[in-house]
Amino acid sequence: MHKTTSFLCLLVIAMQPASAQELLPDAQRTSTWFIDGAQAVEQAARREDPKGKARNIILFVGDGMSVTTTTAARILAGQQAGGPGEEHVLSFERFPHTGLVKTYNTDAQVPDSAGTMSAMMTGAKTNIGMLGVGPDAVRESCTSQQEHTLPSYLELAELNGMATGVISTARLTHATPAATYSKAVNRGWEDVSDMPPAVVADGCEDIAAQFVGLADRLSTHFGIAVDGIEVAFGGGRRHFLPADSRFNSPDASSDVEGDRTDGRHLINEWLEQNPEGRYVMDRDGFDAIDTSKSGPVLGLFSESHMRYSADRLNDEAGEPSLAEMTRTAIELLRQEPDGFFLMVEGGRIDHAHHAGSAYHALHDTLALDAAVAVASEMTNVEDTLIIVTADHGHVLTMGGYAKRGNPILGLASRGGEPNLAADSLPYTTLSYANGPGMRFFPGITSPDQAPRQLGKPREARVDLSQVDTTAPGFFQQSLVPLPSETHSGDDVAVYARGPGAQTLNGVIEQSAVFDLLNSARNMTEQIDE
Amino acid sequence: MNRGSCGLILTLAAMALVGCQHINEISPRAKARNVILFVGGGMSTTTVVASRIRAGQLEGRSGEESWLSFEQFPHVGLSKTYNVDAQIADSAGTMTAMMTGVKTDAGLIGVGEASVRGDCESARDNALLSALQLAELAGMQTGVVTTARLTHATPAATFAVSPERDWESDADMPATAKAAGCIDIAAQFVDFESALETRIPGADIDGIEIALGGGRDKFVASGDRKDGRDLTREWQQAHPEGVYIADRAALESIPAQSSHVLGLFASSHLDYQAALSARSAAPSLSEMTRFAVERLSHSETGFLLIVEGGRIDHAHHAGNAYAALTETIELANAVSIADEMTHDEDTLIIVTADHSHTMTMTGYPPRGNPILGKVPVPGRDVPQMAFDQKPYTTLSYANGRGPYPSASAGSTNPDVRYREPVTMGRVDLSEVDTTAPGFHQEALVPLESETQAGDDVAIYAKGPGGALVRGVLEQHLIFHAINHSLDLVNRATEAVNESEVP
Repeated sequence: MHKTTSFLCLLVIAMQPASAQELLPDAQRTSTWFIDGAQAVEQAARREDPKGKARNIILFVGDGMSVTTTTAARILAGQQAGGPGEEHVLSFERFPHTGLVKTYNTDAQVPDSAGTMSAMMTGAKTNIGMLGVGPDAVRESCTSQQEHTLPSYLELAELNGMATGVISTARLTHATPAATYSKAVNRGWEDVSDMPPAVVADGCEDIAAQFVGLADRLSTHFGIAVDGIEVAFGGGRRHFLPADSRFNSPDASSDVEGDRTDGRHLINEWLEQNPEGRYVMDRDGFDAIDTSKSGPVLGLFSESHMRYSADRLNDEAGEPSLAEMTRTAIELLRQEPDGFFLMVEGGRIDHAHHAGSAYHALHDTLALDAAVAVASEMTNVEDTLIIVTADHGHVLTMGGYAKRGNPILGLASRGGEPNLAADSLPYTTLSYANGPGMRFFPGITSPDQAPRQLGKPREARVDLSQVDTTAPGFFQQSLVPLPSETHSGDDVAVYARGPGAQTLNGVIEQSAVFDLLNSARNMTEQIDE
Repeated sequence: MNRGSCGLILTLAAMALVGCQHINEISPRAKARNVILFVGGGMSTTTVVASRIRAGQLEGRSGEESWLSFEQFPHVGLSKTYNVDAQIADSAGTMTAMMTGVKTDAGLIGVGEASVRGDCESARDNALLSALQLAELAGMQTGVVTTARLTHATPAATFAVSPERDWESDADMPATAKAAGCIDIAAQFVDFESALETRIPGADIDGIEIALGGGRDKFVASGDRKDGRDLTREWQQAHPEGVYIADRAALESIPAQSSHVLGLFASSHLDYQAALSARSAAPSLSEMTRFAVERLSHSETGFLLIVEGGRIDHAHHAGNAYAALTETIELANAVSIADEMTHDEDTLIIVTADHSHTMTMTGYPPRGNPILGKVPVPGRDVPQMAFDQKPYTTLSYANGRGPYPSASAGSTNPDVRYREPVTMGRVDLSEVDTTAPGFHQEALVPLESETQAGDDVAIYAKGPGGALVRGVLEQHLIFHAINHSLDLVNRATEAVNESEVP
């Protein structure tokens, strides 16, 4: 049998017509572009998607990671590696399945992170600024919040006995991570001091308190024993601590670190609830986490947001990187018997854009890229669905006619001198449609160190010929002078690999990201049973 | 060799043998019978979103929930558009990538990166074969439809070889290039058959069946040509059964038995969609697409049709979002027609853009706010003011000529903007109707012409092979997806080999 097949095989090869490639000119068939392209398409044609259901699900959210942000970050990474840059491929850009996501909120053409992450977490689009409630909820109304509460995918995962994790470089109570575990008609209710007394009197809880109370709330409401989020890393200690300097962390940046006016010390409460739990607040604590030990871990590494990625090593107490947090979380979560759901947010891409700093937006995008690379390596494509997406776009654009390999943060140039505009001034490849506009503070390492806006319009177009536009202290020019650069309304990309990824179906409403998660491991069905 | 790969080769080879014997039928290896590639010139992802909202609002809805026809396709990928020598690409290099499977330099048509722009000699050894040429060699029917000049970069890259995209007629070429043997793009269109047959010994092709667009002046002595040739007459002589037409009315009365159709409906680009009326000489993109698909559908060997919405790009360059959105919606209409007229089982439809533009969509208008309007104060019907106490529109450009509202309000031709000076800085738009066809958006960097952008563009696909464009792709993979679905190179090779046998 074997022999016969081989013989036939040889025979047929001998009978094949002249090589198909001979028709093509040498310049075509020997071009590496052509060869690589043909190979990539052959690979795509042979690709077989994992069958069956996912054991683990990881959702990465690049906050404000627009299509343009990803393209520019890819080029920066390629240039850091010594190439022209454009040819580079980010970790998640190798995923086989992609789609585009319509991000609008039910009441907003250009959305915010609360409404968008709620859509992904609950499967229902909602209003701008709202967390985990339906679109009929009324802003500032506690009773309407209680009436329109929706369960999140993370909560459903908990109810299904899965382990869960939440990681963010922003405050753990900030919109994106908050949408995984909390309900609020106002995303600003991060702690009790942010809430009107009437709302508190009506029985609505602040977001930090909801984090600590999650297990109780779910167990009571659904009558199923739930153990709470296993791993949570991020910033935002101020919303967990009483407004009393006695409770300051060693690296507090304010005189009084905590904001809470109800006297609650939520970190202590969390430790009481979780006798096996471990709380860490700095680099040493993070490094000392024994991932072979079971029990939940809470890491709050900063009073407010964690540092921008490019500024991280300047932190006094030390902060882990997004990739390091992702690695530790997966090491902890993968020991759990029933699989896990992990949400990882690169939260500061958005903040950098708002400040008008492409430098930091791109570096934080690369920090997310590194975290995705870690997750991809540590998990098996056959049993783990990884989704990478953004919640909304930003108004960063990439214009002009720079030659190949021109520094992505530099002045647009066809080679040699920078191109000049009609006002005889050079211009950068990257710019913003609006925002605080051009500022240059040599030596600063973080947009947070930039002096505050004075509230006056500045000259949009100033001469940049003597300015190092690739420096961390450079802020791009903007057309419309606004105190903060805005989100944009264009679609964002979604990238997926693993079981269920193939169900990604072209252009989708953002709420369908929930269905994508659910197609990998159906949470709603299991609860119904 | 393991048994698995032997089995695969066995199957492929057996199929190849069957294919050899019936070269005039669809190869059994081919997954698609027909391919239609739609290219929105400069149709960035932001352009698609804004057009989707505009389309919905024109139908009386809030807009964001709408879908353009191709947005309902099951497969979406992202395309990396850079040229080999340019971070931010041009249409010549990008369309050459899509047509030949080889990324190349900006400004080059159908030649590889080793060619030097504007250097005729350098093109000689770097000429590539396009998907359209391969389809002709394979015995398929082919068509090219565009709202731009037929000799403009995107359509040119389907049939021409030129180290300079601007060599559209002989008058556009330097004497040295002509002396060195280079031929202008219009002449290459008319000489297409003979040139390809000379280039590929054994080839016997019948020419591009359907070509509809603008650019008549590049073909006739009464237009731009200085060599005295009337290429439309030469084309008619070469295609005695073919029909040459110059207006929309003629398109409707072409005999069914005519072998070829060449329609040149304007001296340069066709009018913008917003300017078209029942009396216009030019048909719309969807009318041309309907005609082309109807004709080509009769092909027994399948067809390859390339349709370009060329004026999305022109509207953006002029800084006019109104027209860019209108043109995009018309492209979506054309896609919808092509989709209805073909079968998902045998026709691969790909919709993409060649490159992006710098238009952005700013925050934070409420749901349903007119997409061409100003951003209002939350909850109120008055415009939000920026720091400079001026309102701002949702859509704006990173660069370009900026607004010149008094001169251009009401015009459906964005190009009138070029008659007025470049605007420096912000303008007070309080009293300006920014939703009017003639309004040109503000721009940060004052430039003679708004530029293209470097961000990825989307690829939308349905039909056999559509799944091949999922993921983040180098742009030239679009050729390889088409080649894989039609088995183009193999079929062309077999056809040429077959006819070489005495």
